Amino acid sequence: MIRMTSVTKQYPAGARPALDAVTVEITAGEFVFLVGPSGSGKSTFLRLLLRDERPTAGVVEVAGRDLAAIPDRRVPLLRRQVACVFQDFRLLPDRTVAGNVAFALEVTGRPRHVVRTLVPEVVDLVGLAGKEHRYPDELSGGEQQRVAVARAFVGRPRILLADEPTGNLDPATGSEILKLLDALNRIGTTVVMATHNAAAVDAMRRRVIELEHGALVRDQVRGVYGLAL
Amino acid sequence: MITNMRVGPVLAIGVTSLRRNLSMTLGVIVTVAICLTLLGAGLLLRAQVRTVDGFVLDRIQVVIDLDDGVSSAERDELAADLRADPLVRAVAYEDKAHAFARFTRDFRNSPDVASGVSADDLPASLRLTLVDPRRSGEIVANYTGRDGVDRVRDQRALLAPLYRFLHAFAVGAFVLAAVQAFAAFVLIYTMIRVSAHGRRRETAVMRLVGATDATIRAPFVVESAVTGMLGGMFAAMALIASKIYLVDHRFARQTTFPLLDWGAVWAVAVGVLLIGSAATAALAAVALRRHLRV
Repeated sequence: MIRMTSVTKQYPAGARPALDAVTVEITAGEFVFLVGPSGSGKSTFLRLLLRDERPTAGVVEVAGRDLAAIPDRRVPLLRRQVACVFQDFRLLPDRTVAGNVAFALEVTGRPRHVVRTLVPEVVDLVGLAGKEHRYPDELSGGEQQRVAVARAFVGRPRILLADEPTGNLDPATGSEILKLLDALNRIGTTVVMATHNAAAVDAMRRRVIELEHGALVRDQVRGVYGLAL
Repeated sequence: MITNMRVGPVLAIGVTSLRRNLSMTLGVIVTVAICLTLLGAGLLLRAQVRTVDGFVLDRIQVVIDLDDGVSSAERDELAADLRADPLVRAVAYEDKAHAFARFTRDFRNSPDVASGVSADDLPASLRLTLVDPRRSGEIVANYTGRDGVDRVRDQRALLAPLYRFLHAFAVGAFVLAAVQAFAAFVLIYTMIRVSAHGRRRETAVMRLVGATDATIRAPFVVESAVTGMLGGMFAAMALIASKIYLVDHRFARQTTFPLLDWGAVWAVAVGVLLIGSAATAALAAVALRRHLRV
């Protein structure tokens, strides 16, 4: 599903590469934690998968396609397959829960009847049934992140990237979001989650990829946040 | 195949953005309206020149005043040469008596002028109708100074000041329209910049969920095109009001020349509407290249 081969990313202003010769493969349906200190290259890793950045060297493949070979005009298609949620939710404040979720479908040209069917389903799936008409500022942080997950998931992407999705949430709420991502993973979505949430990583015991100074220093099946047990 | 954008949501986003930037939107509408009104006025003045030209060309003649001492042989030879000239369609001789009759008719409202003139004071003449009145200059050049010819008068030359006047007004209107167009460009550029900044989260989300470049840009283009269309509508209304209140009510009583008809006004009104929408949409597309990352 995802394959990185000797991928290096050097930003023009950076003294050292943000990613340094990383080679890794993630198969369809996996749930992978991406861990490492701030500045270790986690966000760059995710941005490369969205083709928000291009590697300086190496090959990034998603679903068998070399992202460097995708013409710019086809990148939107990739982003319908690879969705992303962020620490800061990035909701539209003037749209309701349903409006935020529907937005993802409307701007990708889905017909109205599809929007009407999918939005309530996904809002229900993320546990926000009954709150469709609330605005983001009327929701808790955890609920806002659920909306962001619903918006990312409503287009049925094959891969869901999460960049520190629990970073702004208290532990209990963060754990609920993790359960939600786990549920989406169990219905077939590949999940790659960058996180500092040690408790969550330790509790879930899924594959852990650790980056440090841009280099892959650990790739552990059923791993934990810190050093291997 | 990338799914096409849906028009409804794109329109809704554009119109919402217009409402949010209401003061700037109004500024752009007023500027575009003034620009297009001036452009339309310039076009209508040119239409008026064509209307006057079409009206007078059928009526104006080149008149060859004959010397009082011209012999009948010289006159006949001159008339024969003129009839053979491919530029000339018809030649009519007007003797002094007829010239006097025409003079008294033309100046019947000015008895002071008419009373001091007798038939002897007026020259006999050959009055020419040309195949193409616009080529009167060639006739004037060819026949001035010939034996028996006193002078060659081109009636169309009498209209030159009128044409110069209308032309100058049209050019002035175009120049002012160009200045306003520049102001409109600067305003639209700023409007897009402000709008792109205000909607940066929305466009980021659109990019993230896989909206196409065209879908991300479209609301901005819609926003700009709607302001241009509203500006064009106000300009069209101003031009129609000018036709009703200035041309038909005021000028129509002051001149015997035909004035521009509704056909020209409608054509120009539709033209400014289309130009307003298309040009502002194009300007938005230019501004987006700089201010929107897709």
